[in-house]
Formats: sequence, structure tokens, C-alpha cells
Amino acid sequence: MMSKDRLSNQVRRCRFEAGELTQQALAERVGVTRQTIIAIEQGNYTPSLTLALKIARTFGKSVEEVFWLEQ
Amino acid sequence: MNRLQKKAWVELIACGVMIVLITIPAILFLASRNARGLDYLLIALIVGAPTGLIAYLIELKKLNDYDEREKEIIRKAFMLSMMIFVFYLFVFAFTAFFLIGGKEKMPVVFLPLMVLTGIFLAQCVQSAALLIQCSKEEDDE
Repeated sequence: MMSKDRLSNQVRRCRFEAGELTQQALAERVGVTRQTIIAIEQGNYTPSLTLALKIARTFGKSVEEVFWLEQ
Repeated sequence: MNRLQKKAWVELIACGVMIVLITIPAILFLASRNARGLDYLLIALIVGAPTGLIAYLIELKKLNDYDEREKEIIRKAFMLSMMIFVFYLFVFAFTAFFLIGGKEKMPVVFLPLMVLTGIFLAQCVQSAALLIQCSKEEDDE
């Protein structure tokens, strides 16, 4: 049976904790568009593992600290 | 307008010009003059093949510029357009068969017209799918 788990994240919070990093600045650091960062923050897009690792590394955190499964 | 929306409009306009304004009128003109099949093939090789190859190479080069979410949006739009294309060919072929019947004949010019109008329809669907997916994105800083 398919799981209904939803990936949640605190990318937005991490951005503000990292000196109010803008979506555009984060997007440039991880090599995506600003729309992709918006979609991730809103939970409309599940990033690949590579992108999730890049985002977490940008904030100096582990992936689990930035992304988690909402059950 | 983001680059996916630009891509959708550019491809729709380019496809419309190439198919609706150039290729279909050219085929109908040649068919009205009862040209041989080889004439169409020569024109396709001289004009169509280089144009198609250039468009394909440009698209291939651009694809590397898109990020993973944009590629996913493009993939979904492409899959939908291919489904519509196959469905259209199915409907066109069977409608013709049911309307005309098993022993009757139809002009052979309908075959390329069926494919070309199908390609144009698929492009319309692909562009619409891209635009709809982009419009769902909310801008939020």
C-alpha cells in the first residue's frame, strides 16, 4: 500500500536564521531557480536527494534537520 | 514571465508557423498539382530535416540549463502531449475507417495531414501544460 507521508521542511526558517538569506541567493548557491526554492518552501515540490543535501549543506545542517517526513 | 513560460510560447509559435503556415499549405499545394511522392521527400530532406535538426540541437543544449523541477515540469508536459498525440491518431484513423468504410478509398494526402495536425495538437497541449503548471506557482518572498 502506498504511503501518504509528506515531506516537510524548514528551509524558510533556516534562511532567516542564516542572516535573512534571500530565496534568490539560496537558489544561486544551490544551482536552481528561485521558483524552485519557493516550491520547496511551500511543500509543492519534493527536491532530489542531491538538492536536499546541497540546501542542508548551505545552512551547515544535516538533511534530517532541514527536511523530515510528516506522518 | 519565467523561462518555462517563454519556452511554451516560443515553441507554440514556432510549431504553428512551421506546420500550420508552411508545411500543411505546401503539402496541399503539391497534392493539388499531383506531385510525386519523391518530390515531397526531397523537400522534406532539403528544408525539413536541417530545420528539425537545428531545433532539436538548440532544445538539447537548453535542456541542460533547466533545474530539476523545471525538467520535471517539462517531462510531465511532454508525456501528456504524447498521450494526446497517440489518442488523436487513434481517433482520426478509426473515425476515417468508420465513416468511409472498409472497401472505400480516401486521398493519401490525409496521412501526412493526420500526423502534422497531430504534432501541432501535441505542441498546443505541451505548451498549455507548461503554462498551467507555471501559473500554479505562487510567488512568495
